[in-house]
Amino acid sequence: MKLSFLPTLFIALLLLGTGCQTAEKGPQVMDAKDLIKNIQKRLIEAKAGDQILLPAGTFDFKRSISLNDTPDITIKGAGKGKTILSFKGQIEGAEGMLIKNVNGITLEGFTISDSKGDAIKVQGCTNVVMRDLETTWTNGQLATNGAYGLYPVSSTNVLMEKCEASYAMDAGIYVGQSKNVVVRDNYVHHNVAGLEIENTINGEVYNNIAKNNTGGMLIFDMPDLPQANGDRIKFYNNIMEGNNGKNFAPKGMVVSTIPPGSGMIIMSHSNIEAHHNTITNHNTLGIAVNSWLFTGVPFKSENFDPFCSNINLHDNVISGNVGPADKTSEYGQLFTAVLGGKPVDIITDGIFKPSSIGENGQVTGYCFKNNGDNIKFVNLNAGMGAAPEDIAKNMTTDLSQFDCDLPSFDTSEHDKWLAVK
Amino acid sequence: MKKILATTISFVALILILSNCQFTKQGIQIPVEPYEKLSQYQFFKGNLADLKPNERVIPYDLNSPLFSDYAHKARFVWMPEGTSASYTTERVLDFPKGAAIIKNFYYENDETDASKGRRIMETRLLINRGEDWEAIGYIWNDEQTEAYHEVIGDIKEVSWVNTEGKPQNINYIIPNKNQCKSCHLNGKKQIPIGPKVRNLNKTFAYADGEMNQLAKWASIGYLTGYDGQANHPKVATWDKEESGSIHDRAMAYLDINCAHCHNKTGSANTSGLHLTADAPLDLNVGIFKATVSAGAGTGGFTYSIVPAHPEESIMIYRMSSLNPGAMMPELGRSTVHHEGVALISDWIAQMDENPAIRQSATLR
Repeated sequence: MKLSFLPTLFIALLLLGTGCQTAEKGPQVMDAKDLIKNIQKRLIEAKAGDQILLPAGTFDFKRSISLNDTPDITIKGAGKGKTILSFKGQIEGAEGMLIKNVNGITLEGFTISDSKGDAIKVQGCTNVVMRDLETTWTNGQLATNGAYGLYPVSSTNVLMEKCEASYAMDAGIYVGQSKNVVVRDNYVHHNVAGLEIENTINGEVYNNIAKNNTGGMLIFDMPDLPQANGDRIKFYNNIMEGNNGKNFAPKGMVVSTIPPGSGMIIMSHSNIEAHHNTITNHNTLGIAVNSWLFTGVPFKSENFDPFCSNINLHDNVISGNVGPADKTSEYGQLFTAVLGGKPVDIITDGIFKPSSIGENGQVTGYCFKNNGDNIKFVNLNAGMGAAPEDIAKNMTTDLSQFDCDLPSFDTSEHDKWLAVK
Repeated sequence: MKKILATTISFVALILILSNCQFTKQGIQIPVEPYEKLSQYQFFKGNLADLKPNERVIPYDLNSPLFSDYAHKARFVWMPEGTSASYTTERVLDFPKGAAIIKNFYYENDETDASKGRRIMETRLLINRGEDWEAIGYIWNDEQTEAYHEVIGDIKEVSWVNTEGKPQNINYIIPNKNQCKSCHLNGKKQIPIGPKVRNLNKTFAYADGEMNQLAKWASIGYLTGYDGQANHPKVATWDKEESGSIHDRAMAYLDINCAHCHNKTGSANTSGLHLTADAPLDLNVGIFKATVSAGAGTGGFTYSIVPAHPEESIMIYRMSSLNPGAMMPELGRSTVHHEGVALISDWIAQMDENPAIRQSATLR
């Protein structure tokens, strides 16, 4: 009898030793029934290289979902609009999903709706893919919506493609303080800012569509941040159309100052090439090129460059901007005060980098060329006084001194990484 | 004979596996994998809920603690035999490998009547694994007989009577393992937040009499490099007027409640707002500082701090908010710390309305 017990024991020990290897036939789609309870545990206990597959369905979360540290993780749903993680009843967490300090993260094929703060924040990660995602708020344009839809920040090697972001009370897609970024084939609508690139170095933004936002696409450089001075961003083949939506951002946010009816705004950034974009039907402005100083907001960092430099706008189609220009924002009211409420196609505050101004007053490094034959242009020359009466006196509409070319620059640092994605 | 030997070995192996080596344990040992139950660590003796520390488990307190929804905290520290922490002036003490910080979160059922007992919600352990600290959470059962290991936290309703005799009721949120990191992460590693010299430098009523905490730790071999004769930094106690000026108390409050994220290497460094006790009184702490990505957190205001105007300061708005998308801190709070808001409001109210920074830039 004793001896016959042995095989059983050995089998038992063998089972203990092998664990659950029999279950490892590729990743399993998580069970919809217990997803809300189990997803956070699954993310905490994830091992490097895991694929976490989410089922189709709508799932209501009370707390934010987070993943930290574990490398090479894929979180993949059944597709945007099919796997919906809803945060309508959220009581905790400043975002819907937070991915932090992960080397290798792919987020794909799901919707995050109605998070109390940002929808998806990816912070301090490398090799980030965000594909076929949707972020939205379902009660319309409310100041209580979350700030950002898709929000990679302080990350390196970021690919965002085929996503849809809507109803964010700041930016639908917001890339902050990152490096080597590709944003393509996305659709952003009904946000305050459709798509925003901020303090980011080396990026390409193309084939995106921005409609019905307050401002279509923004490239901003903000002071006093760990990654100062954004640099080298190419914008091409994007469509910005009818971004005339009301500005529903609470006061105090930088985007709350954006006048409804803005196609594209570039602020204090260096090395921007925007070409072959279609910018149509905006009530206030097609493209604006401004310095941080125009905002009048103080900053402390000495290594922050508040000026735009090497801004190359060429071969864009800017059309259909008929007005009347916005009257609800301070910037928009300036149009009423000095331009009779008429919109413009290209506008600059005229506060140029001092080193770019020659002895004869000629400015270099700001080229606006081939953007249509009859485009309406204004240089506010606000450096000579920012009050409306000063601007009315000093502004010019002469585009000829900006009729120049700038050499293209290299943004290929991400190519090697992209090739394997 | 061989088969019998194999059987015996197998049985021993099996017992070892099943028992998790418990029978070899003598006193406190920290396992590689967390114990299922808090009692298994043997930090406490007798009835677990009495939190009576075993030998070498030392209770401690902080001059200014982090606000956690009015929960009380019973803190203890334990270090392996023959090891000690070493003195550091500014940062958290250098704890030895294997050290454990034990923090029990509880509510007095009635703040005006201690005889009505308390309810322990959770116990958080921070274990120094050498390379990094690990946060391990235990949730107490309703019977208050045991706490069980849980990585995903929980939400529990809790009721109590506050110091003014008013009944309170909140959803107490127990953080998940990732959320522990949100506060404890510094750079790429987790570290404790509280036990710095300036926060430990106070008298504690031990079972065998009152003593300065640093002196006590040194006397039992828990702290090296401590000079008993020297003056040691001491942070103000935020709610004790005699402990420091309003500026010192406000900065002590911001330091312990905000600076674990709002420092140059913390999670909130993307905001440019730095709230460490030594931060200069300028844009660093938010004076006339515009927001970067505050979202709903602005409350419609423009600057983090408008000197002399707490009612226009984003900092006060966010401390007073219960909207998860706007409130600060982001985690660990589901009620407003009214006394903390009052302190920071008073501090802002007494500031110079027209500081140097205002004169250096044109403000809208």
